[in-house]
Amino acid sequence: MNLFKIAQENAASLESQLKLIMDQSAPDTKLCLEAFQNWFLDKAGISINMKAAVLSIFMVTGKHQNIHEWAVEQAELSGRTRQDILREKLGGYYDRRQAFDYAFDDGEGFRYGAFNAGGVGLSLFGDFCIVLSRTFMEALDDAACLPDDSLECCFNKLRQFDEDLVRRKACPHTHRHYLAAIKHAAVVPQTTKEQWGGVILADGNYIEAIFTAKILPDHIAQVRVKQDKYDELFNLAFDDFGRKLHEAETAQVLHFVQILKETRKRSISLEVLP
Amino acid sequence: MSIVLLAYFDLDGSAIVKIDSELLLARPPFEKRHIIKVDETTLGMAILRFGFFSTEKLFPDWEALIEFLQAQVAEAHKASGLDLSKVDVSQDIIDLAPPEILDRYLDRIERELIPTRRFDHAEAVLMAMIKSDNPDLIPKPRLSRVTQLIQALSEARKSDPVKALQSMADESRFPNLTKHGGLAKARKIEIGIKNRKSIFDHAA
Repeated sequence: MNLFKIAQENAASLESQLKLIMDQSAPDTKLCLEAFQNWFLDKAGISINMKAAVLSIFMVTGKHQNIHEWAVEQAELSGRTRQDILREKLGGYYDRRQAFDYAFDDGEGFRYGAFNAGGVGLSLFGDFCIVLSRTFMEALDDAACLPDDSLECCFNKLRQFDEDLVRRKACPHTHRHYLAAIKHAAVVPQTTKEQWGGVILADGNYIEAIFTAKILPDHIAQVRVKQDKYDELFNLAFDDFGRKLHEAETAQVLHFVQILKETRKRSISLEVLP
Repeated sequence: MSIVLLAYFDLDGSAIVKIDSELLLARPPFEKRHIIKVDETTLGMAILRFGFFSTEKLFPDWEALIEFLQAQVAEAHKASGLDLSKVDVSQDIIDLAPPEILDRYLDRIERELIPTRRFDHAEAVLMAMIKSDNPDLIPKPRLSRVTQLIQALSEARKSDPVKALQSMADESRFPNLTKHGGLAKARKIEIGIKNRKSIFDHAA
């Protein structure tokens, strides 16, 4: 099963769904949804949240691994099988991960991001949010979108992978603005343009981008971090002058320094957001 | 009370634990404000999306848990050939700090460190600033403030009853430098700065 082909085949259905919404909408709502679609195409890029350590290692080594690539590397180092390593790491979540990734051709090569138009993304676990360049995004051959986290929205109530759900929800990259308008049709007319960034991406609610192209540090257009995290890291670094930091604190400061160095070296903008 | 560790991220020590029936996300440096309630969906997301290791280890208390997490962080870095106990990026931080952070550091030296007699801490930051090639340390107001604080620190050390005894010798006014044999280096830098008509000219 090819996710990108399925998404492509769903384009006409998405167009019909949006047409139906538009036809049933008042003229000002219709205008607002059209403006939202244009805004989404213009402003929403693909972002990936990363922990400081992950971003630092990615920027220094140039290597960004998904979980399968990581498992292959660990298997080579340890002599254990890749499946054993994945089973141990994912525990009770192993079946869900495998059910989705193994359902598709090249599923083990999937990379996941979220559409983002200005915020720090899903920052609960990944304080640093990288935004991939528009050039990279526009050049993606194999890319699809889903209206929510694929490991939630493509599974039924019994937590079983549901191919029908994928066939109904997958959207080709070219139609991402259709998906965004359909998903948020009820909310967009009640919000201002300034609020749309928060509409499309809030913790636990986002439009997922799935693609197979490898990402490199040069594909990063911007790195974003919340002001309070940025201040916390600089405060920790200040403490480092006066006391011996614990291992986890040292690691945080070290990776923060690497991120500062690499963003500067590569002329990537580091945006600190309130 | 026992703590069940359900997931952890070895490179930074973040963890999701279960205490009674409550799920908590704890992040270094593990102060109260770094511990927040989460739900099952978040636990799944941590493991499926953010590289957390799934586990079910039991710990008698927070102390034992944090000790385990710190060891994991050290171990994970060691596996990549990095000994965290030997990492020193303090000079890098000063070299990379933007102007508002440099000003905040200077504020903290003036308002927190010198009044509470944390002289070595203040001295280490100021010496890193002197050695730094950060261009944001060149503008006159900030540079003057650095030299004023060096003078204030020196005065505070002299007038401190305990520290005064240790300050009899000139070298001991900057124990960190003396300890690590860096005093000569600092003096060389001082001469360099004098020659480029910067920091110590302002202090004169």
